[in-house]
Amino acid sequence: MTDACGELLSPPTDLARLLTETRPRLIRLAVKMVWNRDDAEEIVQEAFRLALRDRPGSSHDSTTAVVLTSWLWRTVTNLCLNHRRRRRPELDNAALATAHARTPHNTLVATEELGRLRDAIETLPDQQRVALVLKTMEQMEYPRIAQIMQITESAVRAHVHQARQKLMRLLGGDGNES
Amino acid sequence: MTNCHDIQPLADDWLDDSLTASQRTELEAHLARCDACRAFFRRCERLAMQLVALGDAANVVAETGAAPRTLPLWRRAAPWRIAAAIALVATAGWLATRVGTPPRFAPSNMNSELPRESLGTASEVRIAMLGKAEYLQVRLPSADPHVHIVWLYEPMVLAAEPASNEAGSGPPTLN
Repeated sequence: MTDACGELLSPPTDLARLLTETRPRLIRLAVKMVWNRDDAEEIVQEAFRLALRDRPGSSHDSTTAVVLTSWLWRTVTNLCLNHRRRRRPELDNAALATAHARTPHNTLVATEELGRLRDAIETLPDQQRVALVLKTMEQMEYPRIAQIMQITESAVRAHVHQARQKLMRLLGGDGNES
Repeated sequence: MTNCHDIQPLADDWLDDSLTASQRTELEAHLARCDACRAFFRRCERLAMQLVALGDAANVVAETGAAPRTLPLWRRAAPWRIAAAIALVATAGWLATRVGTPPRFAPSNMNSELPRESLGTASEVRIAMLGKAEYLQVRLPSADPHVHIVWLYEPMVLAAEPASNEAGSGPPTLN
């Protein structure tokens, strides 16, 4: 993945290449926010349209890849939040079970646990949910998340901490002493 | 001796694998003698595992589209939109089969043209809604299942006049 590179891009070819390379990860992020593959794809397409229209970070016909990728992650996140405000995610546990069965964790974590966890995540405030998803599901480092969310690193840590605490309270004794 | 109030705030750093060596030693010593903190850290660990599992399940959804739409397309889209989509796809297919007069697509976003032979291999041609605008979405086959090559065109600029015989620069591909 090229999201950490600081190379200068010469439009339009490199920009198109960067968008193509980044697309799968952005769709995975969007699915974790809206829980619908088609909606996630449309959100990422909209982000790309905005990127191609506005050329974020562009200067003298060149765009820094790291600026653009941060912008893309941030834009997809915001579009997901907007989408969630318009339409609450439809949490289909049958589809989640089907997907979970295809992961290596299906014997370690019960599908019912995932359903309850997803329900609990839905109750988190937006900032906490975004920080938690980026940290624990996308395995991003705190400075990178801070860059995407445009808040301080300590604020990101606080959001992740609060999200974890709230989830543990909501999930109660799930997995306790297991 | 470290008490529970000093140990439990270490949970985040422990989950993030960013404890110092001395903190780790202190934590392990405390957990060895404190049932309550041991149970607390087990719950933290369990939550971390569940989050990873949920993320992996989401990745499967992203790659396979396992999660269905909340409503079937025919119930979500207005009839005129479906009719327009069918008409546009049919038009695109007809244009793709014309010999000697390759269709000229004016890409809305890319500064290159889609070669006619590429359109012939498209795995999907549909109307995509981006915000309030509609685009013709052409999905091209990709050797890598994780890579989706999708081109967007504004349907209204779809023109049938003959293009030059020179092939466009083509869709972006990955090495």
